[in-house]
Amino acid sequence: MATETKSFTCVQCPMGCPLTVTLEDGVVKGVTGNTCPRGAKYGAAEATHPERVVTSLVGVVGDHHPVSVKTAGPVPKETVDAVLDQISATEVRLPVHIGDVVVRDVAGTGVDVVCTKSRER
Amino acid sequence: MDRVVDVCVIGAGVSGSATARELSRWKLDIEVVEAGYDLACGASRTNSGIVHGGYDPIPGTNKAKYNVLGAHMIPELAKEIGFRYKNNGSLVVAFSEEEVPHVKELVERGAENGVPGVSLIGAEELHALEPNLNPCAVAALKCDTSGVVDPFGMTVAFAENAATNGVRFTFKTRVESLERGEDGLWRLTLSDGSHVSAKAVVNAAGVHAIELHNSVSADKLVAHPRKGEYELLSRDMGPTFAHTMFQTPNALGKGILVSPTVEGNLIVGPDALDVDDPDDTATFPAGLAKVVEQAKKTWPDYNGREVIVNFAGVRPTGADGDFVIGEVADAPGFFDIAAFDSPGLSSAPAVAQDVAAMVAERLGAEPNPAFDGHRDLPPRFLEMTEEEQAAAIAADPRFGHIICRCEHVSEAEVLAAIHAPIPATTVIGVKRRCRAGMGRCQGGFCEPLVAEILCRELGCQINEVMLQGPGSEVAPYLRGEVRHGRA
Amino acid sequence: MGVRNLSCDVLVVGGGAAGLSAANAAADKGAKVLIVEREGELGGILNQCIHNGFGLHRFGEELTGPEFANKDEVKVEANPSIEVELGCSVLELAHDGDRLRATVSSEALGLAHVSCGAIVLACGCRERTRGQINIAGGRPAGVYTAGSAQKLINVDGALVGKRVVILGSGDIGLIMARRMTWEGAKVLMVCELASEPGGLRRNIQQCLVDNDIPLYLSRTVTQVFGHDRLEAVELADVDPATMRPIPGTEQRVECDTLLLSVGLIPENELAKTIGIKIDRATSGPAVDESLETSVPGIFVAGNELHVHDLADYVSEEGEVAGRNAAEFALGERKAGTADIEVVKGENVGGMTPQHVTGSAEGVTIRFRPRKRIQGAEIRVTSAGELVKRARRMIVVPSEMQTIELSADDMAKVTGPIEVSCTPVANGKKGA
Repeated sequence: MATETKSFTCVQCPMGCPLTVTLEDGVVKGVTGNTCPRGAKYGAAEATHPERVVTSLVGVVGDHHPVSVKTAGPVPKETVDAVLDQISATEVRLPVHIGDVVVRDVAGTGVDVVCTKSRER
Repeated sequence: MDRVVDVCVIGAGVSGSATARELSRWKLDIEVVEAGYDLACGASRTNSGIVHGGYDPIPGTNKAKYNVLGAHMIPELAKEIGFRYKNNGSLVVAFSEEEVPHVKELVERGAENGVPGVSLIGAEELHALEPNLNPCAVAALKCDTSGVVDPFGMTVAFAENAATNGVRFTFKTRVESLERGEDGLWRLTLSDGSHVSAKAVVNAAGVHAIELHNSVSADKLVAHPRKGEYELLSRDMGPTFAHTMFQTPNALGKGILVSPTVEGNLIVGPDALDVDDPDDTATFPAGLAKVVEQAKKTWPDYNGREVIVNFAGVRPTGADGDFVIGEVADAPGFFDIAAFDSPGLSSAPAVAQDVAAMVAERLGAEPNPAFDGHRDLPPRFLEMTEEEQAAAIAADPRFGHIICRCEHVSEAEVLAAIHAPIPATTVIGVKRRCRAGMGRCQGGFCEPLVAEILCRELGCQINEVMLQGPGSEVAPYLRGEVRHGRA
Repeated sequence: MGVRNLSCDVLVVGGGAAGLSAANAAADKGAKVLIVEREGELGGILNQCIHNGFGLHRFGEELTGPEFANKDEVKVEANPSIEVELGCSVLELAHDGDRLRATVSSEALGLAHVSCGAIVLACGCRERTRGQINIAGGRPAGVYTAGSAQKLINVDGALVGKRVVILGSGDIGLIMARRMTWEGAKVLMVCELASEPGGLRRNIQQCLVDNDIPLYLSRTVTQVFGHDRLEAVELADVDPATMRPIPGTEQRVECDTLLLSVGLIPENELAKTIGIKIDRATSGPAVDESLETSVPGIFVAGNELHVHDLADYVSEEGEVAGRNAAEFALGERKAGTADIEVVKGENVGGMTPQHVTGSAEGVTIRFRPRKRIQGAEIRVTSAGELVKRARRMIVVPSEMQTIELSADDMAKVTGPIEVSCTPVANGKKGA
């Protein structure tokens, strides 16, 4: 039976608790260092299948000012590079509004990329 | 493109620009060739900005003659061609009884050089004039005629007035070589591959003037370039001293000056460091620390706070200490303004007048009846009354759009700089002309705004806008280019 | 055309997080509000903060900067009592009889005098520059404050470089480390002069650790090299005792970009034009518990008051300032008659309010601890008597602490209020 521990800082709130997650054969056995249940949940998830919300920019046709976007939900950490590649290669036409989907199922994650800014022109 | 001109002026610093303007009083075809990306890229920009009275140079030297004449011309010129000058006076302070004889010597030298308004004052008057001065100061030379000037603005004023009177300016072009042909014309080979043939050449190449001189004359000069480091403090500190405060020169050097600038900042410096590379204007941590330390002799409370920028300039000092002015004996038609270090800024108007007269005489030039010596100082929103501001915005709404929040510079002023007779083509060029980015935040907020305006007005891409010289793009890559390996 | 005259109850200077919430709160109180914003759109610095992490406290969801701003913008735009002037700068503040007057300038308005009953200053802050930390060397392109580089990429769509050193571990520097990495640049390292990181722990984790960017504490940049463009920087270790570079530890690192994230300073130039008293510790105006400055009727909120680490608290402060400004302008405000000093005790740096007048029911005290303490107690005392205490698992200088004093707590105040933040004594459990 392989026991390992992973340590990292909780990012659920500005508290930034130092979490230690104990895993046995890849299964979470315990989380310590957290001050709230959200921290325990985050610690377990981060140790087994870390996820990130990706925020970036897409181009605008005919204007060098980009539009800011984000993944509508977290994507697996190992897909972040592929997600960024696809976002970065995307161009949109104005107007756009907050929440408009600009990429569907980005990098095969099942998550959409949405605008975080409304721009009429 | 190869061309033939009457006069080629090498260098668009203060001496070259002033000479070009003086030359435009004659019917001459004049081109100024400048290696830098803008006016005053060298010593003309990075100096103390002081109009020296003329009590310091040794009597009988070129420096003594031209300094006194130039300092006398500058107040009138400031009005005539529009640059900022303030007659704040200067003090050379003796910090001990031992230094008093040297100060007295300078007072006598001032009289000999014909400087008006120079006197010796005692401790009481001195401390009444300057309450922040080191209490141990015992006496000072007081010079009423010295002042402070915006050295870049002065160069711009000369150059723009020259341009308005027909002088052409070519930037980012270095003179690679020059030789006198059998036809008596000087043939200059430029870094862009083109050639200029000229009946006369004015060598106003600043830190490179001595090497140019040596390339045409057997009478070799020895260059001794010296770097001077400065710290510029915020306008809050400007009122610390009313006068330009010099320390009494001694065996260790001329000391550090502390002076209000014409814009109301406070400048502290320079040191004097011998350098090999005349174009290296980097500052050093140790040098700056020494500047602060030595400035405390004048201003004991100085703690290095409120610095908004440090910078250095290289002074084109010659080995024998005097300016080299005039036609070179073994190079007919080649006129030097070489070894033009301090008090070059103060002397430039007088030197320009003399050199231009020499050139005109040599070429037998006719006066130019169309010459218009007047140039208006570009209006500054910050300095207008409210009624003037309202009227300015009514006439051009872009006066109402403030670009630089620290110095209250409007978009109209930025545009005026970009569309001036000698246009600002870079962020620093705009900053030098209209002060956008000169304040506390040093362009933190307005640099991107100025870059956007330049992008629009020059019709280039945002990543092509330059901060200063070639290769200095503000933001060299468009979004996505680096990620996708396209840049 | 001469100088135009405008009028409102509450003038809000700045349309960022603090200004937007101040305007909404003031309008909710029945005031006629004018927001003056110098940029061409509302949102302030939030527009360039495209990363997420905003809004957890205020809206219970994680938003990006533009989305966070939009929540208040929508309310502002829907409120007929609020007018907005964009591209409009305030040049000067002055007294105008028993009212206040702002001189403003814009393309649309020209030059105008805005007569108002009260003012909320919400101008935000600015970044410390290279000049202020006096790094020696040449003056090449490639040296930027982190926020300028952030604006260039996120708003203007242009990236400042490919090989990056970041000086200062402030939050914007950390955010930009990730941002530039995600744009394809190589961020070599973040150096921090102090022995403690300057930014939030979550940002160190998400921006640096996630992207394998090393953070070197007690290290600084001493020189930059390059004439037209940056070629390299010189780094040196710093002696934590003197905060000075240690000779002999210099190291040259080739790079084309140096980003500076070396501190933020409240933008108080406008406040100075009417002689508002500035607190040396916060560099912002000194205020009472209603966020009123030394000039009656002028209130201040957000990063102009003191630099915050979370926009949520900026908005919260904006609401307080906006509400009180409205009450002042409408003549409904209970004037405070007391003048109780709030004193910085042990381990307390910049703190607001600086004094308490009794003008509000309770008092919200915000301060920055001077040093890190694991297991800390915040104690509020008055004339030696305990008013309130609170435990914190950890306090660090990068994270602002808040402690609320209720009306009941304030009833215990008999003299100057002192706030301290000290380690919990060993074995002593809280009462």
